[in-house]
Amino acid sequence: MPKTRFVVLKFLLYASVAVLLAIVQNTPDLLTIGTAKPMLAAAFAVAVAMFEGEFAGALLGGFCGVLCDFFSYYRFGYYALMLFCCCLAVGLLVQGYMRPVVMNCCLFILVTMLFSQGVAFFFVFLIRGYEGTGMLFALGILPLCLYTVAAGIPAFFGVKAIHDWFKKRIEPAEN
Amino acid sequence: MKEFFKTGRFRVLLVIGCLLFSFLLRSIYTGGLMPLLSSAGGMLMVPLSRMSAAAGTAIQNRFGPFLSAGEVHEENQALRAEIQRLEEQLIDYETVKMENEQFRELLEIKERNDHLIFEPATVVGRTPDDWFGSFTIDVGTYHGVSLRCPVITSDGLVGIVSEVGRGYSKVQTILDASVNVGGVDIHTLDTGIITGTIPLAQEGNCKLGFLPRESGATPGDTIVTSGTGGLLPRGLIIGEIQSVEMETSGLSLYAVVTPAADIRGARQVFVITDFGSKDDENTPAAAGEEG
Repeated sequence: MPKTRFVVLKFLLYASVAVLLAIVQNTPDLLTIGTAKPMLAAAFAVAVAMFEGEFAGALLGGFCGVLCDFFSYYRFGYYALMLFCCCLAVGLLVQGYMRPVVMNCCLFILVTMLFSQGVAFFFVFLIRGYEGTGMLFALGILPLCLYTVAAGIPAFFGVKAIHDWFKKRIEPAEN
Repeated sequence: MKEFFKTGRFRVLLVIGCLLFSFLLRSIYTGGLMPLLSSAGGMLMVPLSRMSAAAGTAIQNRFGPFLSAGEVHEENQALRAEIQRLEEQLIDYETVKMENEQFRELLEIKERNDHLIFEPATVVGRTPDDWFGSFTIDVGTYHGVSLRCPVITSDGLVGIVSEVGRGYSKVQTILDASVNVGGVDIHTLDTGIITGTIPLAQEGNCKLGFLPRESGATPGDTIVTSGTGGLLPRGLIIGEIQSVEMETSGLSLYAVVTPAADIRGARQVFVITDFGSKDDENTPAAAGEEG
């Protein structure tokens, strides 16, 4: 099979998994611990950006963001922009400075989640002076971020498996 | 990495980034009316989410009791106490019934409800960043739903539609700090504004603010929508007063209200797409506020 078909297949698989994860994360009462639920699609997008580089990572990040936006509390397009930027940064960092290992993946997911949730928290709640914003951060946002980091571990190994499987088939095709 | 910023790939990503930013700006500018992309995507996501929600419900129904046996035991004890309390209350039933009839007559709830047009909906998504119990339902503009339509269950008001697509809508609940709904105590006829606060939302309660200092509102009083402003019909049950406290400013009172509807557990809801005194002109412009 030519290389391009494998590449197309790989990204179709990534897109399908992203859709599946977005639906699972938004299913009522599923995966809920206390009041926290993980953002599986975001964790998956970061893991893909680590293995597939800045270009594909940013595009898939934008796609996963759009999927999150369908159900999100925030305005449509917010997560698309946030995940697009974060995955671009993750792709560039892994290409230049950091190794694609599970600890780095957890770190990237934590930073991505804190950044995306932090910006929204600042503009939607903190700046408007709502009562109890500290409670929201401690009991809402932090558990969400930590749960997403935990969900990022299987996401990392899943993406690694997909990446390695296709790599074996794409590289001989190149030779 | 420096080379990357000189490549064509970077320019492509820059264009896509600008495009995504423009989507976000459009979404903010239109006050929640979703752009074409979200409506088109919703056609794919909503049927899949509906199936997923149904599967989730089936799993929850099957395994839920085993996973929360301790909780069920506590609930059982609480229900026994509740039954005892209700039996005692049954003695006063006839009197209460008569009073209730009087209040219904007074507020003309029955007559007004004749003008309500309902659209049944299923909750298909609850997002992880769901701080106030907001959710997505499987009806949209195609079904006659518009921005700021009230959403209820058989128990009472749940919230209002905050964003609407062709086949789905997002609902902000009355626990949300950015939602303001006019409320009235049916016993004292004191009016106030129902809104959420972050600490109360954690407990599943909301707040009836701006009650006059001399208000006679007491715990147990029922709060219904006042209908002021024409965005919500009058007489929809909101909940029951749990406690009445003084605002920190000391200028007015506020009541902690326990919503009648199970907001975080709702699976089937009704959207009121039209009612007799609906003020359509205010609908898109009044995002975030209701009189």
